[in-house]
Amino acid sequence: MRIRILVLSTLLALSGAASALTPDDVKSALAAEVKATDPAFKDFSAQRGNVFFHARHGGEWSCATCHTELPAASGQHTVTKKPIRPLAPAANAERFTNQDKVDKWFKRNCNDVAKRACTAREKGDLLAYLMSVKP
Amino acid sequence: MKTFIRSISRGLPRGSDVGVSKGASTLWSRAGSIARPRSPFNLESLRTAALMTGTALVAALFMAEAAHADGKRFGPYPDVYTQECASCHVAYPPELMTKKGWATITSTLDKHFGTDASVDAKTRAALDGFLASRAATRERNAPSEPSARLTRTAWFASEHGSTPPAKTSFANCAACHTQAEKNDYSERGIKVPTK
Ligand code: HEC
Repeated sequence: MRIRILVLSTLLALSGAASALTPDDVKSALAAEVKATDPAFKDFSAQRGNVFFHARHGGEWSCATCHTELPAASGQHTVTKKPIRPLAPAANAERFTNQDKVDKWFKRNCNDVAKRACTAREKGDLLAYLMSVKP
Repeated sequence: MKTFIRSISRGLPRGSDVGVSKGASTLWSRAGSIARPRSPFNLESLRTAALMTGTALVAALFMAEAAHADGKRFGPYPDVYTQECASCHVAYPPELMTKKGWATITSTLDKHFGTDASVDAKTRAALDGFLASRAATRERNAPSEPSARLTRTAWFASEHGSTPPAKTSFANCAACHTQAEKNDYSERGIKVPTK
C-alpha cells in the first residue's frame, strides 16, 4: 500500500515535471549533452540552425519542406498533405514541452532529411533558431 | 437461415451502398417466392410463411445493423493510435485491412513509405493489439503487395479505381472525403476535386 502511494506520487511528480517543461529546459539539456564531450562549448547558434533548417542534407527534403520556410506558419506533410501546426514555440505553445515527443520527432525527421540522427549540437542550433522565430 | 443471412452478409462489402441494395433484392425476391402459400388453409405453408417472415425480419434487422456499420464511420481510436498513426496522415481505419497487413506495417515503421515512423517496442505492442482487435477478416482487405499498402487492397481498388484524382494521392483521404479528419467517410462528405 505504502509502495503504491509512493509510486503514485512519483508518477504525479513526473507527469507534473513533464508538463512544466519549457523549450529553454530542452535547450539546456542539449547544452549539457554537448558540454559533456566538448568542455569549450559556449552556446548554440540560431544562425547555424537557420541554415540547417532550410538546407537539404543528402535527401529530397529539408525541414522546411514540411514545416515551411517560416516555421511560425502552419506546414503540411509533403506526401500526405496533412496540415502541421507551426513548429516555432512563439506560434505554438505546445512545442518543445514534452521531451519524449521532441526526441521522437528529432529522430524520425533527421532520418528523413539527413538519413542519420542529428547531433546534440545540431538539435540545439535548430531549437535556438526555432525559438528566435517570431510570428 | 444461417446460410441465408451469411450469403446476404457476403454480398455486403463494407463501405459500399451498392452491396446493401444487392443484398436486399436477393432477400425480397427469394422471400416472395417461397412464402407464397399454396392453399389458404395449408398449415405447412402457413408455418413456412411465418418462418420466412421471421427470417425476413431478422435479415432486415441485420441489414439495418450492417447499413449502420457500413464502414463509413469509424473510430473513436485510443490515444496511442491517433498520436502515432495520425500525425502525418489521417487515422486510417483499422477495419480496412487485415491483421496480417497491419503487422507488415508495424514491423517496418522505420522505413514507412519513405519516412522514418519508428516507435518503441512498448508502443508497437499497443498498436499491434489495437489493430488486431479491429482488423478486417475478408480476403478483399488483404494486402496485395509486400509493403502492404492499404490503397492497393482489392477492396480499395474496387472502391476507388487505380488512379487518384489530379494533384492528390490516395494517402490523402481528406482530399475527397472532406470529413475524414472526423473518421467519417460517408457519401455525403465526398467532394472530388476537379483540378
Ligand atoms: C516529411 C515531413 C517532415 C519533415 C521533412 C520534417 N518534419 Fe518535423 N514533424 C513532422 C510531423 C508530421 C510532425 C508531428 C506533427 C506535429 O507535431 O504537428 C513533426 C514534428 C516535429 C517536432 C516535434 C516538436 C514538438 O515538440 O512538438 C520537431 C522538433 C520537428 N518536427 C523537427 C523537425 C526538423 C528539425 C526537421 C528537419 C531535420 C523536420 N522536423 C523535418 C513532419 C516533418
